[in-house]
Amino acid sequence: MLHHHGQATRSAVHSDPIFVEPLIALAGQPNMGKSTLFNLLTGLNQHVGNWPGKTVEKRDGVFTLNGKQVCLVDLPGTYSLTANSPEEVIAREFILLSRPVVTVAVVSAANLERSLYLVAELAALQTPMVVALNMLDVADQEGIQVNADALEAELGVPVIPIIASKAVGVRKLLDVVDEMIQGRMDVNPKAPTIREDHYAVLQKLKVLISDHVPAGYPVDWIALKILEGDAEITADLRSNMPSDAWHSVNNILLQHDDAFMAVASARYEWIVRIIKKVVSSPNYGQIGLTERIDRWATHPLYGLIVLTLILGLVFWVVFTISAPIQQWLDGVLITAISEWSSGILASAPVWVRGILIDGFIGGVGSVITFLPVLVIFFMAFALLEDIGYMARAAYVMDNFMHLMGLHGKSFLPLFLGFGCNVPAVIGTRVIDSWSSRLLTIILAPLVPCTARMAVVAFIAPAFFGRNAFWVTWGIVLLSLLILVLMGALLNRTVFKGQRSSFIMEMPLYHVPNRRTISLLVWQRTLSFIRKAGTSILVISLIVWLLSYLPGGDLNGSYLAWIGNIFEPVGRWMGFDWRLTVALLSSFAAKENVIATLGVLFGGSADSGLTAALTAAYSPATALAFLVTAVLFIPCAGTVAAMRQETGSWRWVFVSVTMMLFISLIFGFLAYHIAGLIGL
Amino acid sequence: MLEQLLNEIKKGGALSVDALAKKLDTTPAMVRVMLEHLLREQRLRTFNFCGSSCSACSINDDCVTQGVNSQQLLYTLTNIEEK
Repeated sequence: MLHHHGQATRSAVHSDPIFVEPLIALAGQPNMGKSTLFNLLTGLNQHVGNWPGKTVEKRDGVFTLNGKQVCLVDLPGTYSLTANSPEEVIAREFILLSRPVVTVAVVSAANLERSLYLVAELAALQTPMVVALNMLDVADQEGIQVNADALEAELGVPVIPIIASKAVGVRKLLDVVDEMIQGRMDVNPKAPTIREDHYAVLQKLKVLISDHVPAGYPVDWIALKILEGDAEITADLRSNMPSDAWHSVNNILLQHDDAFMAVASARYEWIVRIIKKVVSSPNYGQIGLTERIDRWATHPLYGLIVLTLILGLVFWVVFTISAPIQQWLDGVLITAISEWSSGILASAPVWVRGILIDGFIGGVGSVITFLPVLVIFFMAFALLEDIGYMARAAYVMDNFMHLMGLHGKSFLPLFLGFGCNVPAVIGTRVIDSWSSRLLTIILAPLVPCTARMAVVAFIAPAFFGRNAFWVTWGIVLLSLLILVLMGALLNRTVFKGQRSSFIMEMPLYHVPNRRTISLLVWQRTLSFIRKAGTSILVISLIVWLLSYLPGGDLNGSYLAWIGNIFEPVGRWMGFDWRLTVALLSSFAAKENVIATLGVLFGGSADSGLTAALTAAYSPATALAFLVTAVLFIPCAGTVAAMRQETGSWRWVFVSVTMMLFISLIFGFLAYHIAGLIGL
Repeated sequence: MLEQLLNEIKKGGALSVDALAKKLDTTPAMVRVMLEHLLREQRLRTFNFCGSSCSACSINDDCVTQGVNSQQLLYTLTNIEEK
């Protein structure tokens, strides 16, 4: 609020009678050590309350400076002096109206870039100011050196290096404050004004408003603030001006509604100039290493190659290490448990044996055998995450998707799809444009999730041995290629994509922490085991029940009946009713494919599920099954999320239909091409 | 400087703080400060991939993209700037 000269004592902000003269203000951004300095100087002689009429905490106190009492007011921590918040209004009104004899601006030597914006605003107020260059110890630890003399020359005010937490340099700061109180030191703060292209506008405004700015307010500052779009100052000035005069001012403001950028830009250019002159940053070996790696890892083309190689390596490690363990668990352990249970339950009713051996051991047991695959998979991703690579993967993939005409923000949620399609669909909330969001929701199920990858990792080694890696890799690339092609097609025809952007913080690369990785792997593994013991168990038992009823004969069961309805379609890809049913069960959750096959084959098989599958099907059928399973309709969780996010079943239907056709077409092609090459 | 940053963001695509700092010939810390400024001015907004919605996901704990999720500093343009 602008106050005319003489009204100052009526200001709500500074009318508190506790203030004694001389008055010193402590200003600074949050977390610059302002409160530490305040507590150090005032000790127990401080008063805490609220600023009159505000809910913002006010702290002031008294201390003795060279034998004389002075009042210190701790202004609220603010980033600037624009009326964005009550704190900022309080700080600027206090300085303008209470006119502290000295304003101590507390800045952090460790983060001068952040600190100087407020200093630029304080300098514009032409308040007598001293800068307390705090946190020298923190800056020192980070290898940052600030030349206080050079900073002083740039700012035109004294700069005193201090460490408030250790009371280092505070004596010198107080001496300078005392000198200023005594009037023995003149300061002339140098402030940035406005970018050159708006300089003439600023001058014009100054002329127009100069007769209407209350005495005591810097005309330059008021002109800058109204150009900056400060609503409070603009409204106050308007009420202080005759309508004709205001009309001229308002016309200028309307013509230069982008001027706020010129004002703020000038301040940042001023800060950058000062930082270059006064700060010497360390040449961190770590930063150098990160930059060197990122020249490749985030390069638009090489970055993609690096990502492809890394993902290839992950799959290779998964298959090389985990596949033999998984095969052992499946072929030896689960089979042994199954046989042992059969012996124990020999005299039990058939349905009890069925539930426990075929339902429980066959279903859940089969799923548990791919735990090694998942553990290695989790470990590889935890490692990539911990060393700081995952953010780069998102970064380079975004550029790649742009090449294909996909919307920029679409990549963010799509990337989540590698974990699970549900958060991918929910994550589309980042996209503002409804059409782009819809497109992304429709495409999200084409990203192969962890569960689908686990199914591939379970079946591929059994049929393709050493070539399982290439098969898996090919299937992943196929899904991504379809995603990109469908995205590009829809983007060009329906969504005519404009490009939007996002900014990511890239963490520094660092040596992975064994404990962090172990913890991540443990949590994820535990979560999977819990799931195997609950939802997968329930589905396994339902599948068993359907495979047992009504007469205990598998081929005459309800499950066979359901499978036989869809089998004619399955035949296109070489599937019998059992594979068709396994595929359908993936609607509940993708990993149920294994549980269902486990119930149908594994529980009573002599040498494990994978052996039973290789005996029953050709590699061509297995390949077609894997392609179809990866591209098949989204699971129930994803469908529910799609319904929730689109608010309509229509788009869910579009996505499910699209996925169904894509999976059938590519499953059919995979089966027949594999047949042609003799698989 | 601030305008230059905003123009770079408006060009679209994925940007990193370090790459922006290089383009603007300044430090990453300076870029962060300016991003926060644009955030306060409501020219940008931050986005957390799934935030609380992640808890509703059945495989939240298994999510392989948690590393990216934890990056809280994801900025996107607000409607004001996109228009």
